[in-house]
Amino acid sequence: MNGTLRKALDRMTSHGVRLGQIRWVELQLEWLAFRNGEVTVCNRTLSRGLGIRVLDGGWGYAASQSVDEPEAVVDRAVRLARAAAPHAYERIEIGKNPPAVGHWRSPCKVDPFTVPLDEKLDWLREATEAMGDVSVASAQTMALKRVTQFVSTEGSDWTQEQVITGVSIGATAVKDGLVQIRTWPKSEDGNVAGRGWEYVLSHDIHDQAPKIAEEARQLLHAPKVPEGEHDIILDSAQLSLQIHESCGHPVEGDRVLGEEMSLAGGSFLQPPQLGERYGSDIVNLYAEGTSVGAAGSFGWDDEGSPATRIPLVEDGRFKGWLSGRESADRLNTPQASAMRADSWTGVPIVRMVNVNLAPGNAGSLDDLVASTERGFLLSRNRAWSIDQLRLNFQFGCEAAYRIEDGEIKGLYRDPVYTGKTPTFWGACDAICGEEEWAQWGWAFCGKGDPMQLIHVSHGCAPARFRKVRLL
Amino acid sequence: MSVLQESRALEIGEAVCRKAGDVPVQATVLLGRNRLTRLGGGVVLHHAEVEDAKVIVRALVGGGEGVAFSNDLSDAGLERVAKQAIETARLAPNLDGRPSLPNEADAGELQGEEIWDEATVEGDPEHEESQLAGALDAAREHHAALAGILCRRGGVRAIVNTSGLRRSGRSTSAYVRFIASCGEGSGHGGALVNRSSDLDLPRLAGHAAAVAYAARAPKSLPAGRYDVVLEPEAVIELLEWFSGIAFGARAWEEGRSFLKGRLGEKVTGSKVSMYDPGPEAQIVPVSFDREGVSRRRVDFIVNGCAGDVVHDRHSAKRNGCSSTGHWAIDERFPVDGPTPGAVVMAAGNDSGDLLDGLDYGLHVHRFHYVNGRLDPQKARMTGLTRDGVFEVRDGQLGEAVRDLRFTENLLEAFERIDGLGDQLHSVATFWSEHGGAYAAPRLRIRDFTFTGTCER
Repeated sequence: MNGTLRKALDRMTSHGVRLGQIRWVELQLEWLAFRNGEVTVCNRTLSRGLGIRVLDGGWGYAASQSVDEPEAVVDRAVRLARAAAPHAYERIEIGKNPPAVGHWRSPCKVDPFTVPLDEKLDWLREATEAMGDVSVASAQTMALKRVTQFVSTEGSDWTQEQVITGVSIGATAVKDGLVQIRTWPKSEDGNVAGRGWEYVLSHDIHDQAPKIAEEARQLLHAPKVPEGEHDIILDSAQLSLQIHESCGHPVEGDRVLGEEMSLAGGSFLQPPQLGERYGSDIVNLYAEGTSVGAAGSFGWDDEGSPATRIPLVEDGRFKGWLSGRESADRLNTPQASAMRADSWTGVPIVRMVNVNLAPGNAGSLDDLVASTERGFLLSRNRAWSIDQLRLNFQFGCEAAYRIEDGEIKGLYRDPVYTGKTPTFWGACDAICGEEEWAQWGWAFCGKGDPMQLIHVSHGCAPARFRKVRLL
Repeated sequence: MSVLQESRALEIGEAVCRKAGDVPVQATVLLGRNRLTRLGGGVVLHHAEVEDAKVIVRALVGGGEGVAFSNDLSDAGLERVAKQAIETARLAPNLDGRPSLPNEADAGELQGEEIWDEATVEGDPEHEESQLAGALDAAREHHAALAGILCRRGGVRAIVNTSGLRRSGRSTSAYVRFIASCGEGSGHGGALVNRSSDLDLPRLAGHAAAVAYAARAPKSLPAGRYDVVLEPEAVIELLEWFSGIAFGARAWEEGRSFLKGRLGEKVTGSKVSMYDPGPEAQIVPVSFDREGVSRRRVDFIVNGCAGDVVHDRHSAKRNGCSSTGHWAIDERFPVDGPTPGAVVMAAGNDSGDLLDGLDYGLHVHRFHYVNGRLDPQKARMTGLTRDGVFEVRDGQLGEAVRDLRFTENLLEAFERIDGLGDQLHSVATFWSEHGGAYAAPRLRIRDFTFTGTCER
């Protein structure tokens, strides 16, 4: 324990609070982006500070970049907790956390912050050059290292070092009022993982760049996906977002308790629905903070609970919530160690860890296509929207491939599908096997108010859904 | 003494510049204090206070640019962050189009005044406790549970560069976003203001709760086309996406913006004007951007015709125009080039609630989870209603309606506006912490397209 944390803990103890948690967080972040031959982003960030959370009647949180007077930050947090008491829940139960001591580190072979910048920039530049004639050729990497030191009045004293890296390339073609995009390996800020720079380099972006550029150009001339009900296969990048929005968020315990209404909303799932039908029999979803190398993994969450695994949906039936200590008690459910904060500035709240869909027995993606008489294979996300209860969703994808008699027959543009969460998952009749199963990490999951942005991941394999409405 | 002193921010900036040697460097110093109260389930979940102080160092070497952020403001920390920015700039490819750092003349004359209110930063515990208690009581009176966020913020900015520019300013803001829940219904009460004393929490909570109570047992309506009255909060959700898809220089240069190549041409209904008010804003005015350039008003759409987009110095040089004072940067994520500080839809002349013009239609309080990427050239967007939808019959509010999904080409839909409120209202958005305030009037639109329903 360093001197700052010792001073803060001593002060906390002297206040005699019910619970005190002290986090020292140092965050390093790097974004690099090449766009049309220009470095558009070359940002490196160091942000560090002290975040102090106190339960004493109510909850208080104080955070400061300055560590000159940690006792003053503690005093402020205690004052805020006591000030919250008159209007807080009458009963706040958090159980007992056994003291946690130790160190946890992401599986990282190459520290991304030791790789020379010019090597990274050259690697990205070559990818954009390989795209040829498109309106926008882009390539991007991110690297994050979050070092946390945590002590508490319960006797915990641990440290952890999370390393997150990610990569993406994108090609945008614009012509005659159409804007068409293809990305790889995943849209938005690419695929991210809880691994070192070796993960970034495992992506052959130079090989993929001309392919996505060509497909973006082809999409300008492709027919629009026909409206109507169709069988669809979601590639696993798109399926990961479907899981995120229509399973990960609605099982967050704080949403169910009405604590996230101001920004994110509530949930269509409620405690009486435990055990009820969520999807088809082959749908098995689980939350796992221990998935090796995934973007939502850690040793302990930000209230000091050890990472764990809990079932969310088993054989299609709703089984459990994402929760922290307090929300687990309110929901009378095993606590899921899912209290996370994006930085020292953020109050820990219930967040997704890795929410994974277990593999099925439909073999490879080729096998799944071959077993589909007619439909569309939808690839990677372009637009997303879901209601505040996480029931009515609408996703746009970058591209669709028409399937006829088990074969890919043609490229279509602007696929948009929509549905209701339980109906949609109830129509899932095939999930590819372990050979297709992969983690898909998202750099930014926005939640909380003010919004916190945090990395999560979803392991899944491509899956088929029957009679889905395409717009 | 408050840590939010302009003199302190300027000193930090000057110290960075001294450490840069002969390399052109810009230091943007941001000091901030946020006081937050989060509510949920009808209780206060926590009070929080967060203080941060950070510097963004931008170095230009040849045509290369490097940017580094740090909140380690020790002497060694400033040395490190300056060195990192310079090293990054040396490695970045040279580009002919990179502008130099602005001097005072380049940065332009400052217009407008930013607003500072010490009480917003320091707070008055007794008054705040009374306001909060009043808000919770107001919700209970309508049998509703209150959730939300109350934020009071003070911020100092200083920009110092090696070209001799030295600018600082400080501003305060406060916002509340209450959501009251009752049965199946919810209601919203929110505002963004310059001074926390301008927030009437019991009134806003009472409004949210009254809407929630009225919406507690909604009926379902089929998807289809309905005449609608949109409250300003709903319109602001759309404006945020207009900003993202069309009003920045990068989207314009890359041909993604529907404004590209159409200056002066009609792009939507003639009742529609949208602009970034810059220093003219009534709420959280911002007089200069994070590279120190004076912010200017920019008109994106004027009476339905295409206007300009926002620029920073880099995009302005590429396009042979002047910066509008919209250099945007955020340490958490890559920003898509110059970004409006705020978008305002100009008010019209129609007073009242605009419902009297509807024989049959829907009154929509807010939209949720709007996404504007479906077809940016048409401003085709999808999203959902939330926090209160009501039938309107013969100009009178009727039954509550379950949430609906819209999917609509908004440039076309805005041609069907036949009522434009005469009052602007501002609420906090994701971008509020950068300063500026989105604002919109109430709108009445004919034949708005809803494509989905939200019953199970």
